[in-house]
Amino acid sequence: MKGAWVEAERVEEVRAAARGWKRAGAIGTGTFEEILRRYPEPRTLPAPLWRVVTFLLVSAILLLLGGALVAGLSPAIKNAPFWCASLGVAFVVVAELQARSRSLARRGGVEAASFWGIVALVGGIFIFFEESLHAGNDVMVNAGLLGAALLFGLAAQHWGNPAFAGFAAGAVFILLARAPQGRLLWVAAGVALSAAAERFLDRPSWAPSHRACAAVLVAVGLVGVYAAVNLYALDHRLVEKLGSARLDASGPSFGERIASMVLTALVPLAAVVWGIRSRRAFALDVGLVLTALSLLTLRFYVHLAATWLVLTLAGAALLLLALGVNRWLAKGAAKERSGFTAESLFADERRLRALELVPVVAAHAPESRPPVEPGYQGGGGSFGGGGAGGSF
Amino acid sequence: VNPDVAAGVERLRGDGVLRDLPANFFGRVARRELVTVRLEIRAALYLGVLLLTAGVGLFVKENHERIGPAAIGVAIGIGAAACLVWAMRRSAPFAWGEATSAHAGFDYVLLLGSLLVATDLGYLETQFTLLGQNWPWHLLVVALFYGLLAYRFDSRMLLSLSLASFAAWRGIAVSIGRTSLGSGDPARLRAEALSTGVLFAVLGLASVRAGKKAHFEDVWVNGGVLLVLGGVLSGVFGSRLDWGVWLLALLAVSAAIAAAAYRWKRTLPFAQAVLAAYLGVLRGVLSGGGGDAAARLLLAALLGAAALGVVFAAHRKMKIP
Repeated sequence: MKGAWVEAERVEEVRAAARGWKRAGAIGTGTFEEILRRYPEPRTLPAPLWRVVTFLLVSAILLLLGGALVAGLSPAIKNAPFWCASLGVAFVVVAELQARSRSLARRGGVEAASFWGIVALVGGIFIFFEESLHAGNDVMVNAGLLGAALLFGLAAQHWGNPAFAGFAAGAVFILLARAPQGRLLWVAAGVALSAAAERFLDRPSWAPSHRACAAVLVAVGLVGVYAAVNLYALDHRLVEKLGSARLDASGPSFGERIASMVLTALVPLAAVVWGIRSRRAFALDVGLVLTALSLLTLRFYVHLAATWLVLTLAGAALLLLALGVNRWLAKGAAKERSGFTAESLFADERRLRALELVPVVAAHAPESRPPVEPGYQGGGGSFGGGGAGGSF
Repeated sequence: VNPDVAAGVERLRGDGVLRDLPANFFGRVARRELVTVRLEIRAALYLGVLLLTAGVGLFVKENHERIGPAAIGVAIGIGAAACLVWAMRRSAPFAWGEATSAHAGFDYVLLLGSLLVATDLGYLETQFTLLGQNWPWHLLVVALFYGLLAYRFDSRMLLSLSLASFAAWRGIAVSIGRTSLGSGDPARLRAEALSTGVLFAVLGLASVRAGKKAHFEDVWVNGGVLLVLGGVLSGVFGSRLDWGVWLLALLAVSAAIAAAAYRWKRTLPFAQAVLAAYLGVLRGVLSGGGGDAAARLLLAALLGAAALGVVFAAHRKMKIP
């Protein structure tokens, strides 16, 4: 990553923090303006909606241009790797040109062009091994995954894109799943990745986006370890199926299952404890999601009660727990305990509330009334239509 | 730790831009000595509501014959009342301006109570067929109920559900898993989507003009724009014969929406209008006759570039982030 980009990111961090302080009413307009004057906007940074629209439109333009090229030249399949590589390089160049422009760097176009460039390059690798080298399926897939890991890794390093870091780590895990003892490799790689990336989470010399990449790698490592040790994943050979390796017909041994049961409980707990002790919200979030998955695993194996009762009790327990934690934190001195608070601090609560509308409407909007048929006699409708859905 | 912000705070304090008290607080947050878990609490509350309503729904479905409709109706009603009373006690007094409760759980307990009432209404209607042949009207009742609570408790969430329930009453599905506007005659549904969308948009603009819950404008208007554009787009993609007429209508409607959004600096309707117009144009370009696919794809890409140019120009001239 270029030094100028790192400096620009640091300034953007302070400006974003100042916007949060202003939004929360912690500073006045005069102070806010003074901060903006001292930290002038290094690159045009539109709101997320603009960036999403730009990403979509740039994606459409590049894919349509690629499609026009293919349709116009009708290249033979043996030349496909060359065309994929050419398109990939062209898209990457487009991404780089935008990244170097002060007005285009943060609009969403860099992400679109670099993503599709890498996809084209990885596609070229697949086709090259398949059509030009006539390599076997295993070699082709392994080469493609290795290429994806390297390219996304390099892209994450160069453009500071946390999503690319996640894709690179994901490709490595799928590659490892294809190796003998893939499950053990997942555990080893997950632990190593999380431990290595954790050291850079707070490193001042790293660019803010690189620290975000490190956070993603820690999270992916934790998820990888959990996926390898989870009892359901072990019994159903999910890691092995992902790598399409030959399955051991005997299944997991008794010892493996016992160890898996213990670790299914302990790994999420360890993540939650680490998240609380280090006060890292993302680690806490990962731990909570893994805890929920462990409870689902428990429900799969142990029939505690009727499904409706489990759902109702789990929902009520979650509500009470969340309200209890909120109350406990609010009752602490200065509304905080051990460095945690339920106050929103400087987050954009308004934007969060707006984003919440989507899942709420998606999950709870009633089904539409059916079309009226000639001679139709009402039967009282389908219950639940008032918001809980008709099918439950 | 965010070392860049922590260093920035110290620099601003040293330069006298920030006073000690706020600088200390900002520094604590930047150094991760104080962390908020509000998002986690809200996510847990939402998941709790989701699980609880699913559990109650399953319970009713599996046990309604054994327990009887009256007992079930009363039990759900008591649960709903408990939630709504809780919300009432913690709500801010009614105001035509913004009056949201600061409690992290408020929105979700209110949502749970409202969903339980809606479930109860739907269930009782199923059991006792109170409305008979006119049973879809219970969707309107639910929409009005949600709307009433939305205005009383200043809840965008319930207003969104109210609009979705109203649309469902008109036969338009807006929930996940629907691939079309809904089931039935497409022409009628298109007309319903257009008229409902216009109604929502007009009510949103009226609420701003009257100064009554003006901050609800975005929910009303965005919902309305979505329905109008969805209705016209379904004409472009769903009609075999007169899709060209629908395309012209789409371009006219999109232009009008984009112009209004540009004038009033509303980014989401503007983005919706640009994307909808581009989708419609793509239909026209890519489905045209002839064998020159490359030229048509190139034209579609160039039109995409033009749309991108419009977005960049609008962003620059609207002077909002």
